[in-house]
Amino acid sequence: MDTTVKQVGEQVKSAQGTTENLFREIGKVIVGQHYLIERLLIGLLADGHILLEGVPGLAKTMSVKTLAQSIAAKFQRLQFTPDLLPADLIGTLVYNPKDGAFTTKKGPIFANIILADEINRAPSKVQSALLEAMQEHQVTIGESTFLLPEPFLVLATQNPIEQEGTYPLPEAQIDRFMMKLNISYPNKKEEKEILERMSTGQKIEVTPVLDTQTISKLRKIVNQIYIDEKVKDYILDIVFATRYPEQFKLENLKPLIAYGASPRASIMLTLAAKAHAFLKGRGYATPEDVKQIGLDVLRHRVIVTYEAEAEEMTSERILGQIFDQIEVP
Amino acid sequence: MHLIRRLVLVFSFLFVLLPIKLNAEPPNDTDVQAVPVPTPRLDRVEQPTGTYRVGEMLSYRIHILWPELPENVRMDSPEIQTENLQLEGVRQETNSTAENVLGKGIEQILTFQFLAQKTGKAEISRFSLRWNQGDGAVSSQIEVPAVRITIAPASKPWPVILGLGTGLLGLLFGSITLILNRKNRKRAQVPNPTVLSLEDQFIEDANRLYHTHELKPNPKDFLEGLTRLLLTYVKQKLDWNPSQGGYNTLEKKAGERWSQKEAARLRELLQALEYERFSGTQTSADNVKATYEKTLSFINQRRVI
Repeated sequence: MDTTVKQVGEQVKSAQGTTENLFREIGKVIVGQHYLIERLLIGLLADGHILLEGVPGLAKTMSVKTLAQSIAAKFQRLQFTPDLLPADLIGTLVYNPKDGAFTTKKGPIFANIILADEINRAPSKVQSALLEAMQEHQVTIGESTFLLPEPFLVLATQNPIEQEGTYPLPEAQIDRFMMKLNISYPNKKEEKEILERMSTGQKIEVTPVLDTQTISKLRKIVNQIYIDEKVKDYILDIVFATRYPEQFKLENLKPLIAYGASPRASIMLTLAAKAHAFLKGRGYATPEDVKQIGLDVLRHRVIVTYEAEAEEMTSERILGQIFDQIEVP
Repeated sequence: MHLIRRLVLVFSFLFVLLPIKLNAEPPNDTDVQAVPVPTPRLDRVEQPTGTYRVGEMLSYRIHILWPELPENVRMDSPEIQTENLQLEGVRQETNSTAENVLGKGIEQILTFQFLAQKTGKAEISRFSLRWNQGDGAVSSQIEVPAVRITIAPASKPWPVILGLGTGLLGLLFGSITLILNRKNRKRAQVPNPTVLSLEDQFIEDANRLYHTHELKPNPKDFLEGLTRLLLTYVKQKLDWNPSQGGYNTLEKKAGERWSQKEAARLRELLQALEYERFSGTQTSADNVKATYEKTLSFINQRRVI
């Protein structure tokens, strides 16, 4: 086991230069937003889809587009509207009157990176079609099943301001996203730099530093990253504390949590911690990785009660108390 | 909880009445400037040790150092989780003379008194002190180390009576002997309990841990124990909670309170311990000893400072 761990460590170290180049290339276009870029890479390396929440104008679309360009991946932006149909997403069969046959026309979902903008504005059947594709990495059109390209990453956005005429994602569907990120405003220094870059009208070219095959290789390295039993127990303690807080001396949280995190959360947290360790240049995951990524993985998986909402007790505050209480190994 | 709130109300009132004055000028009403809030620091603790009896009062003294005390700082209800102990009261003393350890600032000594309720294990598992700036926003927080003690049954009256009776008889006999023999006795000096600094406490605990490891080697357990000791020390010294803040926060706090070099060294130490514990590599006896010595060297240096 020592040899394998060492080998993985060496592979991670040798891949460090690649990820640094990626950050640098994206940084040419996107100012700041290091947290967002890092989480996008974690999603890409851990094969996990991401839900982005933030007000308009925070470079969400631009960040995703720049990421796609820097890894020479096919990018597709889909604006979700209330009149969207599943066929508009996955494709459909088109009748050809010349030969009387049906031909398959693949939809825009056949891309490496999908940005599903304002996913909560489309009706539930469209959301289901997308989420099925996310889970299975394939779509069925007519009688034929088509595999989606690899890597396949969905980044969905939700606008927290406009809630009228929206179809909120059901909790079971939100659970399929590895992380939910809250994007915040840049600081003054960053915004000044944004002004200076974006007000000249000059387009900044992004050079691909990776390709999709390299991403697949990096994913294999991430999957091999070592995670100790103590760290696994730490992850399980955190997830179990969301389900049974009284077992962890958090009786005050019991009336505030309607549903805790599912076993999928444990899997996602483990994968995300490994990807985080990879980005930090380590061939092993630590409790620090779990702490850094935990809130993003769990905030959308803990369903609060009405009592919690009345007390303005969000899932983030609840998770904060859980992280405070659970002893770090 | 109701009792604790009452006690803190009383305590806060006392805090306001203390005649601690600063040299700061009164604020100019026309200028709205942010007043830097001084951060308290846990200097040392005097934990209750040994065995206590049911119904006996035990004290936990906490020494806190303030660089200065501005107005409008209030102490929130302390967060205390106890098992088999009931908080009975809080006393406060201050020492603003030049005789305190750092030569300046103000030392605040809080004495929390607990009543042992029943026999068996008793514990103070979580103990946080918080202060706010008067608007409710928490400005400072200190984590106080946990304590575990044993509560013995309350002594029954008849052995006490018997003992007293025997004692009186003995006293009488001794007095008669004294008068008859005319000999002087020396009274035994009760040694003052030694209060260890956090660094001394760490070194003592680490040495004990290493001795246990030498007798029955178990690198994983030893490194886990050493990490716990170091994290507890850092929690008390830097008000850093490993469950909350990452290493960046720790390094920043250490850099502010100590030096950048020491902050970097502390981070390296914790990351080295992480590597030994979580990287999956077999830890050799030499590595264990080297890690232990590096940790002790760091704490020893802190001791000197």
